[in-house]
Amino acid sequence: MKPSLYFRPTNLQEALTALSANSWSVLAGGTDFYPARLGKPLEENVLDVSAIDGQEKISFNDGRWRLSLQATWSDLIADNRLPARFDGLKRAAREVGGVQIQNRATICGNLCNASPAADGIPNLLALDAQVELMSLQGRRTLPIADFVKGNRRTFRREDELVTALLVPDSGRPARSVFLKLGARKYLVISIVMVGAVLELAEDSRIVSARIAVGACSPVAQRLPLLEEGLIGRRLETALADMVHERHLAPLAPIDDVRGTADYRRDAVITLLQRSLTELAR
Amino acid sequence: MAETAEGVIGKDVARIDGARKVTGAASYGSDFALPDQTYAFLVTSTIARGRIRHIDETAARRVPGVIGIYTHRDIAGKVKAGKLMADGGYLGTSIQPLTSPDILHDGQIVAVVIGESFESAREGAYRLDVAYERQPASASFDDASVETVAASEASKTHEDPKVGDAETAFQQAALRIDVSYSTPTQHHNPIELFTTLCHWSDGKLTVWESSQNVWGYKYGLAEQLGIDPNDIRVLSPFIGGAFGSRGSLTPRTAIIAEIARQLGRPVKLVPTRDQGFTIATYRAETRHHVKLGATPDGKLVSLSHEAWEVTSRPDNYMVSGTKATTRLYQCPNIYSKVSITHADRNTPGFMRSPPELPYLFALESAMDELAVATGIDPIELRRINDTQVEPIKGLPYTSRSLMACFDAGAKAFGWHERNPKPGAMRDGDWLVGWGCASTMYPTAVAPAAAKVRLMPDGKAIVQTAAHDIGTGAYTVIGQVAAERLGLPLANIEVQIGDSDLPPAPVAGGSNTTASVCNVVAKACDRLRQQLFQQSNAASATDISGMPLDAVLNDLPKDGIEAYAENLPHGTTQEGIGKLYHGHSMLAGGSELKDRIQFAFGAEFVELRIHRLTKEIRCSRLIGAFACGRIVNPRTARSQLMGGLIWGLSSALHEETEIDQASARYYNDDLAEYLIPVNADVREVEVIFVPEEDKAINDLGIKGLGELGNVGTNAAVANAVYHATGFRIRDLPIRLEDLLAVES
Ligand SMILES: Cc1cc2nc3c(=O)[nH]c(=O)nc-3n(C[C@H](O)[C@H](O)[C@H](O)COP(=O)(O)OP(=O)(O)OC[C@H]3O[C@@H](n4cnc5c(N)ncnc54)[C@H](O)[C@@H]3O)c2cc1C
Repeated sequence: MKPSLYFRPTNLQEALTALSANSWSVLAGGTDFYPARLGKPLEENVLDVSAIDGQEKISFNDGRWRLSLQATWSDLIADNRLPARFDGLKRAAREVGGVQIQNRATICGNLCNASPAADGIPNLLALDAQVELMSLQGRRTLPIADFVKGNRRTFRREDELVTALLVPDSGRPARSVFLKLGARKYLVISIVMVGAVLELAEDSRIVSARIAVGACSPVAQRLPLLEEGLIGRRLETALADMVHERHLAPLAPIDDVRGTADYRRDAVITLLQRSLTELAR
Repeated sequence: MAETAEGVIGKDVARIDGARKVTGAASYGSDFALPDQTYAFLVTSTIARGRIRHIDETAARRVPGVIGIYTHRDIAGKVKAGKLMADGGYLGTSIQPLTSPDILHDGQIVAVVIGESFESAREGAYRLDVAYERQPASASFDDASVETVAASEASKTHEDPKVGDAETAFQQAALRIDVSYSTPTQHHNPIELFTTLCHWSDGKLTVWESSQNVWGYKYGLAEQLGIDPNDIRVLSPFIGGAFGSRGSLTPRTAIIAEIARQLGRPVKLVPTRDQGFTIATYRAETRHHVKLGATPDGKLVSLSHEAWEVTSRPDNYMVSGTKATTRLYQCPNIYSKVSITHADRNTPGFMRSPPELPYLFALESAMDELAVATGIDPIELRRINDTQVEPIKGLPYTSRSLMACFDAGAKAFGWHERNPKPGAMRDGDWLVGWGCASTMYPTAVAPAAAKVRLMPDGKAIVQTAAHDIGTGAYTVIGQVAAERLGLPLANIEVQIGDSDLPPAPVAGGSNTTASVCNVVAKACDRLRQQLFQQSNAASATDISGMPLDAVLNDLPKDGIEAYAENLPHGTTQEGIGKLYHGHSMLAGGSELKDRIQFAFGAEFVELRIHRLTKEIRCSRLIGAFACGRIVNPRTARSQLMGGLIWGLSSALHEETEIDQASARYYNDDLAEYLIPVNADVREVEVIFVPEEDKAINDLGIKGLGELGNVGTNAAVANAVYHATGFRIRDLPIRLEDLLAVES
């Protein structure tokens, strides 16, 4: 039995140095980490990033919001500076477990865990967020869609840490939404969820649309056809009627204990319609 | 006997233990800690049938802080298996782990690792290497290797109620309903885990464990450990949920006691949530075949209820709800038969309304199908078949207010506005469904004993080994004592949940209030009698209304005491002997020779089903109940409201899923075992229909703890039908069952 290491660095440099020298499992809020290890002895090295100093959790610079690796769902919910384009992500935040979970769980952790049912990912896609990765080699950024590789897999290199999520903000008026369907009303793993952000011109015509669906494919997917169809249209409840089966092409829902593929396909359409109706309200 | 002055019985008083609970002063099983205690962590089997081939302790022993590993090699011969409670024993299962290398069900205890800390014990348990010889296991009904036997063959005491010739009458009936239903496996999941703390001192054992049956545990443990029951004390002052799961002794308790004996130090076990799914009991899945024959105007002429229940290989555990379903309605020809199916599972056990919840789902759904077939309103159909005499033996109900409940409930619900056509009621994109069903629960009362001591300062202590499983027993016992002694409630101290106190029955079958309040009343009356006789303050004729103040000054410093035993209607002197051996002789329901005792209710559900997603939301839940005298409307309402929510949950959410190939549970946590959250439950209303039943017992109390959750599942299924035209006969009803509903 080789004893495993536990390290809780207090600055980023220490963390990156450790990552370059050894193989580590990263621990943030631990709310995905811990349940995945129940019933098994801990045999890996654990790098606890929760004490890394010197980063503002949520900040705005050069037209970009930065959510640091320590930003929790509760931090997001409490931040009144965030503009309307974050409303959907905030709604998702309120549905990640209960308040106790939201107080500990980080937004980066939700993304890095890369569960098909991660409630944060559809809105991060809809926000066109970038992932900031750091290592001793330097810094790089990746769009969310290029970061998540598949079910619980990402393109993060072993020596890298996700240090932040970067969200561009054009300053244009925007609306956003998150809707989730589960077998009960709250505290539930999603069967289907939808995240959407629309940017609007002064005359409430849609200038950009990003709509993503989670839990219907190994990685949450945007629906480009639907997005294109919305651009230039005036935002009104009638848009809900636009939603069509053919928009769902990027999805590949599966049968599992929470719902059948057919049901998921059916439910996505309804959730998309509800999303558009809500956005227009 | 006239009631005394105060009139505390029937008052809406807050729980006397409420402040202790909300401030954390109330100690639950896992809150107890002893100096020098050690920690136990269980290792449970990853196969459902086979044998342990070998256990390698090397890695586990190396974990710092691990001080002991106990397997069948250490426990066999030291702990005896015992008999099922239903067979006159104390246990929930006759399968006693660690007595041999055999594995009889998923998650059976195969080892206990003891550490100086919880963490070391857990790490040791994770590192214990257990190798199995796996044999094919049968999960449930559909496996080819299960064994199904008629209940009447399996048990000498089982009776299948019958009258007339149901089959012929069915064949000749103008209207026939012939349908099958099923209910799933469910687990209690009380918030408090299945913890145990054992401590030996001078050859005497003390056990801190949440229990609904402290006297039963004391005698059961004595048998299992081969020691004198008088050397055992079981303490369970507060219970973090039980619902039947703590009524009979489970194997862990004797194992932890034995380890503490061998180790010479206290041992505390706090198992995990998923272990709770396999080391304790559960509600087994059931199947039903119901046939109803009726005249065109809705009169039942034939009722047949055949049912199948799953149990373990060795035990004949069964709930046999046909005792209730054959007696709910007037019908001249009745047939019933229960069979049990032995599978490779742990033995199931009592879970809130064990027989009634699954069995009334079948009958009350079938009644709704008959209502549709006859075109008669479901409430009127029940009125047509209502009776004050049970049809099997012709015995009278002591009281039965079923239709009064329907009338009160229907009025509150607005039932007359219902459009009976399925799918006819809508609210935007939501299909609205209204359903109703009957509920019934037997009133059983058991022998009990109690002691009351009155002190010169006017304070009184009531002692009885009853249990407050969260229902409010502390409070109602206090209320009865306050009223009978003529003291303010604040002057009464209630002591329960301790096997050193006078014996009281298991907190099961909703009997506590009736059994215990009656004996406490008796002890109080006796105390008053002693008091006034001693002090010569009154004539012997009526002392019940006399104020105590006059005589308190004459009391000795340590007060005076009265002891009482109570033998309720239908019990015999033998019941007292049993009581002092940890057995509860529950008498009532349909088991009496001269009469029949049940509480009744009517439940109403409004559902909204989304036209497109088929999401099912319950927007209203109303129950009207007639259950004798209500000692405390506040705690009673909470019980019934919780019952209604549980009933909703049993219809729409709860199901323990079992992998058919391996016979193992796979949704054994609260993320995947769904229970409703607040947002799933909107309006819940409880209506009390006044009912006075002087025959049932002196205080006129019927049980109500298990009345609320019966029938709700059928009312939900009936509402689903009303909203959609789809009859779902297998619980739980999930949105996927409704995909074919036209949008
Ligand atoms: C009771 C309960 C309910 C839940 N309900 C929901 C829900 O409704 N919806 C939902 O989406 N999720 C839910 N979750 C899952 C979880 O809470 C979220 O995914 C959460 O956001 C994870 O964040 P964390 O900080 O706890 O991550 P951790 O558990 O600490 O880490 C998660 C994963 O990400 C990696 N990681 C974390 N941070 C970094 C980093 N900075 N760089 C590189 N890798 C990193 C870790 O190595 C690990 O693999 C629930 C969890 C629990 C226990």
